Amino acid sequence: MRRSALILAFLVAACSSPPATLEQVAEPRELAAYPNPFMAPDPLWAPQPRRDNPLEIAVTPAGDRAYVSLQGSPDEPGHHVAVVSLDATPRVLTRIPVGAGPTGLAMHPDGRFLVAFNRLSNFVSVIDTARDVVAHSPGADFYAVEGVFTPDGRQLFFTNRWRDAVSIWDVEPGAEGLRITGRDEPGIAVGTNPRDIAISDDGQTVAAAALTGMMVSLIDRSTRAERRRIDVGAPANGLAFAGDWLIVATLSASTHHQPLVGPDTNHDGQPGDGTPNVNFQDLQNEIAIYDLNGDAVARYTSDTLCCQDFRDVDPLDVARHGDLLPPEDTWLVGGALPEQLAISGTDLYITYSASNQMQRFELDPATGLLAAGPVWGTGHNPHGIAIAGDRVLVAHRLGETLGVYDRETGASEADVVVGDVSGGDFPATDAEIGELFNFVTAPFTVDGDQSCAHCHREGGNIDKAFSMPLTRYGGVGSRMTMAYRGAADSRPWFFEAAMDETNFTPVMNEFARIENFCCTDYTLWPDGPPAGCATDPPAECSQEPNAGSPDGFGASRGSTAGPPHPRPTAHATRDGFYLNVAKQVMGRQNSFGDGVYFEDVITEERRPVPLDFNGITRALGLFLLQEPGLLPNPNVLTASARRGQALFESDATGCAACHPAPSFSVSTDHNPAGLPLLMGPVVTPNRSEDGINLDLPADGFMSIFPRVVTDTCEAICGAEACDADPDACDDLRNANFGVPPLRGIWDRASGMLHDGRANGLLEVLATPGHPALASGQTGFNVSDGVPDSHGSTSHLTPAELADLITFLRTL
Amino acid sequence: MRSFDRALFVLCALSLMACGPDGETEPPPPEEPKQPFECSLGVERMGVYEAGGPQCEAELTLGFQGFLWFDVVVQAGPGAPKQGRAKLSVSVPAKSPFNSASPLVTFGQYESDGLRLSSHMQVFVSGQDPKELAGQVAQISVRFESETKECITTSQVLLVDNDDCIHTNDEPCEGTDVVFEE
Repeated sequence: MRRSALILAFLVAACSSPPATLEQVAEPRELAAYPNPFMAPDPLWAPQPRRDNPLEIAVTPAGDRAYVSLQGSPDEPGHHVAVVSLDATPRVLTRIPVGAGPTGLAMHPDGRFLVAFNRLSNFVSVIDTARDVVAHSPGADFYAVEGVFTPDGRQLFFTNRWRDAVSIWDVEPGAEGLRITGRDEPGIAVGTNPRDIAISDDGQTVAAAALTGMMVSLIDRSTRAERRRIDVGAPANGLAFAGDWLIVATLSASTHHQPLVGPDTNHDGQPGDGTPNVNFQDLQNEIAIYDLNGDAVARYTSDTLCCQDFRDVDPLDVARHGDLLPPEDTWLVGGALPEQLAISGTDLYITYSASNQMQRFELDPATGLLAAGPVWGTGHNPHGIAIAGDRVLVAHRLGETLGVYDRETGASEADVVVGDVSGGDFPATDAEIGELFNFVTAPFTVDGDQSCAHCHREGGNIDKAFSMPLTRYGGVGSRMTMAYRGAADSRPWFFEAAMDETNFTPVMNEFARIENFCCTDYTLWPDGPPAGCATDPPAECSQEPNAGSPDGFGASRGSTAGPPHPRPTAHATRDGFYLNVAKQVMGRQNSFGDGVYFEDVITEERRPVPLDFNGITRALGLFLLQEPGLLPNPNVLTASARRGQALFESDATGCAACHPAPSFSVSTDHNPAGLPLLMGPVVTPNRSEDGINLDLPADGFMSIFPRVVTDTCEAICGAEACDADPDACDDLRNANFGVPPLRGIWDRASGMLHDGRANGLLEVLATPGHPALASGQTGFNVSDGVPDSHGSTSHLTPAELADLITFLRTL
Repeated sequence: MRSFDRALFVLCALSLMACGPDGETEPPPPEEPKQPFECSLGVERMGVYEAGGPQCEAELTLGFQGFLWFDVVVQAGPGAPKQGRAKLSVSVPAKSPFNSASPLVTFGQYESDGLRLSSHMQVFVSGQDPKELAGQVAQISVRFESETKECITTSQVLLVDNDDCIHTNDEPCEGTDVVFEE
C-alpha cells in the first residue's frame, strides 16, 4: 500500500470522531525520514522491497488472538498492527491502521483495550479489541516506545526514547476507550534511550531498561520516583519480573580490555576490565537476575565462553587470568543477543535475535536462579515473544512472520506472514543479505556468540568505549562505539577514516579469524598447507591444537602460544565456513547480483558472487549504505536553535568548517572545502600514565590500510632512535582521525569523542573551566593545554553554549 | 514505490540544501562523458615503474591477521588527474574472478619523462593459499576515474612469494619462515 494511502487511512480513522470524553490528538503528525545521499544512479544502488518488520506481541487474556506491531524501518515506518487468530490454524484476521512506527503494545488488564506506541507519531493508538479498530488516538510525545499497565489497570507507564524518561498516565477504561485522567509527562528521568519496561507482580515497582545507557531504573509507583538505578554494564534489552525477581536480558559488562592493565573500565578500583578475554572474544550474552531492591542475584553468560575460538582464554589457564572467568555453572546462555523475555509460572522463554534461536529456562522461585532448558531455532531475527496457552509466539522481525511454537517441544506449529513479503521472502536483495548478517551475525562467527547488533543496537551506539584490535596498544587503548546510522554520508568509516563498504574486513575478521580454520591457518602451515587440504584435510587438522597467532595473543599479551584448544570447526577454510552457513541460514551461496556482483571493468558485464567472507562483507557494506537508519529527528529549530545555528556557522567558532552541511561531516562524497579527510588530534590524546599515546593504531593495521595517517617515529625522533626502539616516540607521535558525522547526534550515547571520555555535548564543546560546566563536569575542548582546539567556544557564554547544543540536537 | 518515495524526498531535500543565500537555484549540469587519458598497469619497485606482463613480478605479502595481498600501480601520461578511484577486475587461473576497489588513488609528481605514478593499489587475496597462487599470472583490468577523467587498461602480473615470512606488527620482517613474538 502506498504511503499516501496509509496516511489517508489513518486520517479517516483519526477523524471518525470518538466520543468527546476521549482524548484525541488535535494535529496528528509523523516525523520525516532523513534523506540518504546513496541513491540511483550509484551502480550499487537497487530498489528494495517494502518490509513491515514485526516487532512486539500482545495476547488477549483469553488467548484467542495475538496483536503484532509492524514497526517498519526508520526510513520507511510501518503503520499497522496485525491481528492473528490463535486457533488451530493461526492466520491474520486484519491489519489495524495506527500511527507511524508502532513499537510497543500494552494490553490493559481487562483485555478490552490495547495501546500501540507509535514511535514516529505524536500520538498513541488505543485499539478496541472487541472490534479490532482504533478507538481513539491520544496525543503523546514522539518516541513513546514501550508501555505497561499497572495490574489494577489504573495507570500506564511508558518509556520515551526522545525524552529519556518514563511517562505516567492515569487512566480509566470506559465503554468506548481509555479516559486519561492524569498525565505526568515527560515524567521520570531514566537512562539514555529507554525501551523495555515491566512492572512487578504486586504493581509497586516499575523497571525501565535503558538500551543505550546500559542501566535499569527501578521506579516506585507510589512516589513516582526513581528509587534505584542499576548499572548493568551492557545494553539492557528485554526485562521481566517473576515474583521476587527481576530478569534482564543483556550482554557482558566487559569492555574488551585486558583484565588487569589499562583503564579501570569495570570501576573496581583496579586497572582493566576484570575479564581475561580481549577484543570481540570478550563479548558474551548474558541474563542478569536482581531482587526487587535491585541487588544482583546471579548473572549467566554464554555457554560458548570457552573454547571455540583460538583466542578464547581457558578457565584453567591461570597465567592468562582464566581464573577470572565466571564459574562454569553460569555458562547457560545458549544463543546470541538475548532480546525479549516471556514468563509463565516458572518457565522463562527468551529470544536470541542474533542467532535465530530461543531458549527455555526453569526459574527457581525461591532463589531466582535459572536452570537451562533446550535451545530451539526460530525465523529470522526473533524479537518479541509471548506465551499463549501451550504455545510460544515469536515475532520474526526480519522474517516478516509470527512463529507459533509448541512451548514444550519448540516444534513449529505455524509461521504466519504478518508483514510484507510482496517483494519476496527475506532476504530478497543483496542489501537484505547484508541486513540479515548485520542482525543475525552469530551463525557466521566461530563461537556463535557475537553480532554487529551487539554494540550497534538498533543501528545506534551503546554508551561504552571498547578496546579494539586495530590499536597499537592492544587491550589497553579505547575507541568509543560508533553509530552506523547515516553511513552513506560518513565514508570513509571509523575514527581512523580508513575503510568503506568494501574493505572493513578487520572488523569482520573478529567474528571468524582465519587462524581458526585449519587450511588457512598460516601459523600451522607457514609454508602453505598441503595440496588438497581443503577437500581432504590432513591429520594435523584434527590433531594439532591451534598454534596461536602474533596478531591474536601476541599483540596484546606478549606471547604467541595460544591455549591448547582443539580446532573449533569442521570447516577447513573460512570461505568454506561462510558458504556453508549462508546456505544454512538463507538457502543460497551466491549473491543476487543487484548490488554485490563481479563486474568486468572492460565489458561492464556483471554476475553474482559467492557469499564467502568477501561476498558477505560487501553485502553488509551495501546494507549500511542503502538505508540511513537515522531515527527521524523530533527536535525543531526553535529560537534557541537558530541562535545556535548562527554560532555554528560563524567564523568565530569555526564549527561548520570541519562539519559542513548537509551531512555535517567531511567525507569522500562531501568535502566542499577540500579538507584532508584525516586531521591531527583536536583533543588531548588518550595517554597512559607514563605518557604513551594509546590512540595510535597498530603498524599491521596501517599496513593493510595505507590511508591511515599517524606521525611516524622517524619524523619525530629520527631514524637512529627508531631503529633502536620502534616505540621510542610513542609518547610524541599522534594519530589522525576523520570527522565524525553529526547527523543524528540527538539520539547518540552520552559518551562522546574517540574514546568516549566526554559525557554529553557540553563536555565535548566546553573548554576547561568554562562557566557553563557544573561541578563534576569536565571541558574537553583542549589539546595538550591549548584550549579551543576543537572549535572556538571559550568566548561563548553559558547561554550561547546551550544554544549551540540545542542546534546540534536538531541535526 | 519505496525507491520512488525516497528519491523524491532526497531530491526535494537536496534541492533545498542547494539553495544559495540569494535563493537562486540552478539545475544540475548534464553529465558529460569523462575525458579519457592514457595509462598502463604494472608494479613499482624501488620507486621505479615496471610495466605489467607475464614476467612482471608482484610479491604476495602475508601480514596483519593473515591478510594476503599484492600491490599494483598505474602509470599515466599528461592529462592524468591528481587523484581518483580505481576499480579492478582480477582473474587468476582456476579461481573465480573478483573485483578490487581502491577508493582513493593519488598520482605523484611528473617524472622527467612526463609520466606520473599512482599510489599503490592493494589487491587482497586473503584466505587463499599463497603457495598455490605463486607462479600464477593474474590478468588485471583497471578502470580509474576522477570527476572528469577516466582511463581503462589491462595487463598481467606474475604472482610470486619470494619473501616467505609473515609480516605482522614486527615489520620489517627479516629472517626465514615465521617471525613470532616470544
